[in-house]
Amino acid sequence: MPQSRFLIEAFDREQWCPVLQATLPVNDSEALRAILDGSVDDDPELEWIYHPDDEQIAAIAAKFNVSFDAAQLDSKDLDIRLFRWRPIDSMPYLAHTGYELPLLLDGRKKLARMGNVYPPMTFEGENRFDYWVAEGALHREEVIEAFDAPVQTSRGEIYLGARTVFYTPKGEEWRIPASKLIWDAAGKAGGWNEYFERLEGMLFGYEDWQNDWWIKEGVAGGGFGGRSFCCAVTAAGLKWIESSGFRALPPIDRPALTIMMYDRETEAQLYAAMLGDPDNAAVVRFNMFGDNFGKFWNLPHGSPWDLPATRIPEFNGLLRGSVAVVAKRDDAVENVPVKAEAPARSA
Amino acid sequence: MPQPRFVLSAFDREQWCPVLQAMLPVSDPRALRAILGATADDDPELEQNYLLDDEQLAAMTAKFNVTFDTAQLDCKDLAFFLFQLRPVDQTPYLVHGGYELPLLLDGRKKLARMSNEYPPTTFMGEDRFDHWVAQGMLHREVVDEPYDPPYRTSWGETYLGHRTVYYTPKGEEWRVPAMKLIWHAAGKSGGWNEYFERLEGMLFGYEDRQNDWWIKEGITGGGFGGMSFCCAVTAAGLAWIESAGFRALPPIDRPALTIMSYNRETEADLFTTMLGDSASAAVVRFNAAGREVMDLWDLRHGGPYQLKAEQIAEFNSLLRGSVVIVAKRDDTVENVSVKSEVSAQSA
Repeated sequence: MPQSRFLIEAFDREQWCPVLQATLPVNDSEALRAILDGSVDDDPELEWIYHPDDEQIAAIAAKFNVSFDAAQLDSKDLDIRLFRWRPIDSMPYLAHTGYELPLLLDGRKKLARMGNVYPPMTFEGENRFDYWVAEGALHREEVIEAFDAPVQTSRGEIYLGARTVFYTPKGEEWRIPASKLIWDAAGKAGGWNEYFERLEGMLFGYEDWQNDWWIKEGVAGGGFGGRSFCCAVTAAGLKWIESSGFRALPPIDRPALTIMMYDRETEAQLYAAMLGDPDNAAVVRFNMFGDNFGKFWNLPHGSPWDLPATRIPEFNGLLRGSVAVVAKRDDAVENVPVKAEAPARSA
Repeated sequence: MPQPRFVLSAFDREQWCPVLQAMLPVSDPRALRAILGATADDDPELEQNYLLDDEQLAAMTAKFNVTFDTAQLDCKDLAFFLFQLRPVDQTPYLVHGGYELPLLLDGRKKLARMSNEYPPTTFMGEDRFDHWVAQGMLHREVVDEPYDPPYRTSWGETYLGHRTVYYTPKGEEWRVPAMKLIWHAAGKSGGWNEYFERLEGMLFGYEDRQNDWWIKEGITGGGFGGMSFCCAVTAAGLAWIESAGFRALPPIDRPALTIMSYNRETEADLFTTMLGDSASAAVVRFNAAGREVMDLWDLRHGGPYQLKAEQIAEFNSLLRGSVVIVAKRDDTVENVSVKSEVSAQSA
C-alpha cells in the first residue's frame, strides 16, 4: 500500500494563518485512525480535517516521529489541525489561500477576494481582516448580490445570496474595480480562460513566473473554465491528428468514438485500459467548455460517452486549444502531466 | 473602381474636436485638385489630410454645392480640413479617436491614452487637455520611457523616447493602472488578442455592443495581433476541413499550397481569380499570428506565399480560430465580409 502524507498544522486564529506545519509520512493509516479514535468512523479515507487534542498530538508526534512543538510559538489562540496532504501543498510557490491576511499586511498580496453565500453575513475570520481595516492598514469593499429566489441545498440549508468582500493594502484600491471589469469582460467574451486567469493572478499579486506555472498547469488540466477529456486513436487516426496540426479529432470507420473524462489521478490505469485494444495506437487529451460538452451529453455523469462518428466534425468545432498525445502504444508518453491536480488558487 | 468620398471638417482648437462635417460628392477629383493647388502635387490619390484656408473652403462649398455654415458655430478658433472618408468614419458608433476631450469631460469616455515619440515632449492639443486637469475635471498621468540609445529614423529624425499621457474623469483613476496591467499581461501571454482588446475597449468606456461589433470586425480582419490569409481548396479538401470542425487546412496531393494575404477591399477579384482553377471548389479564409508566420515567409511583399505540402501540418498548429468558407464555385458566398476595414479604435 502506498505511503500517504498528512499535514499537522497549528493555525493562529489571531494572525489568521497557519504558523507551524509538519508532514506525517503515514505507512499505516490504521495507526493514525487508532489515535484519532471514534471521530474517524464515518471517514474511511481519512479525508476530513481533524482537530487533535494535546494527548492525540503527543501520540501522533511519537508514533510518526515528527517534531511538532506548538508550545514554542508566541501565539495565544491556536487551532491544531490534521488533514491529508493536498495538491495545493505541492505547488512550487506559496498559494495565497489561507495566508491572505499576513500576505496583505506584508504587501506581498495585493488583493484578496473572499466570497461566501449568506446567511451568515460573514466569512470565517472576517473579524481579523476587519481589525486591520479599522487600524487603517487595509481597504475593504463589500458586494452583496441577492439571489432572485432563496436557494435551498439538499441538506436543507437556505441561502439568500452571495457576498464578496474585497481587501487590498492601502494604495492598491484600483485592483477592486479592475477585478470586477475582468469578470464582466469574461462574461461578455464567451467565458473564463487563461488570459483572464493571468490577469486575475496579477491582480492578486502573484509574480509572473508563478502565473506562468499556474496557467501551464491549468491548461493541461482542461483549461480554465473547461474540462479535459481523452480518447484512444488508431495509428491512422494519430497521423490524421498530426496533419491537422493537433487541432482536431480524426474521422473513424466505426459507429462511435468512446470518450472518457480525463483524470490526472488515475491517468496511468486509464491509458493502460485504453491501449488494451490492439487497434489503438495512442491516447489523446483535449479540452472543451462544459457548456459545449453539454450539447452532446449531460455532464458530469455518464463517462464514458459514445460520440457518433457523424458528430465528430461538430465536436471538433467546439474544441479548445490543442489535442495532446498523452500515451502511445510503445509506452513512450509524450506529455506527462504533473501529478498534482490544480487546486483553486483564489483568494 | 469606386469614387473616393471626401469629408469637409471644421475642427475647434479650443474644444479640441471636430464640430461640423459635411460629405463632398466628388465625381471629378480634378476639380478638387484644382482648388487645393500645388499642395496636392505629390499626392496623386488625394490621400492626405489638407488644411484649408477660407478661400479654398469657399471654393469647395460652391463647387460641390454643399452647406457648410461655420458662422452658426459659437467657436473662436476653427481649422478646416479636407480628407477622404476613412474606414473609422463608417463604424456604426462614434469612435473616440479625435473626440477624446469632449467625451472625457462628458463622462462618456472613461480613459484616454495619448502617446507620442519625443521630441517634442507634448502631443498635439495637450494644452487643451491640461486646461481641464488644472480645472480639477480630469486626472492626468504621464509615463516616460526613454530609448537607450536614441532612435534615429531613415529620414534623419532622432527620437529620445516614448511618452504616454493618460487622462480619466475624476473617480476613474483606477483605469490607468488597470490598463498597464492588461498590456503587461498581454506581453506575458503570447501577445495581444481579442480578450485584451475587449478589456481595453471597456477601460476606454466603449459600450458592450460597441466592443462586440469591434471584436467581430477585428477577427474577420485577421484577429487582433493576427493576419488574415486565404487559399483555394478542392472539393475533397473542403470535405476534410468540414471533418476537422473548420479548425485546420487539408493535406494536398501537389507540392505546395498557394496562400494569399486576405484583403477585404479586393476580395471579390481575389476569389474570382482563385476559383479560376477548375480544381478549386472553394476559397477559405483563416487567421494566424503574424510573428509566427514570419518564420515561414517574408510577409513584407504581400504574397502569394507557397506553403509546402509537408509544412501544412505545422502551419495548422499556428492557426487562430476557425477556417471560414468565403466563396464557393457555385458562387454561393457563405460569409460575406463587411467592406469597411477595421481601423485603430483607440485612444
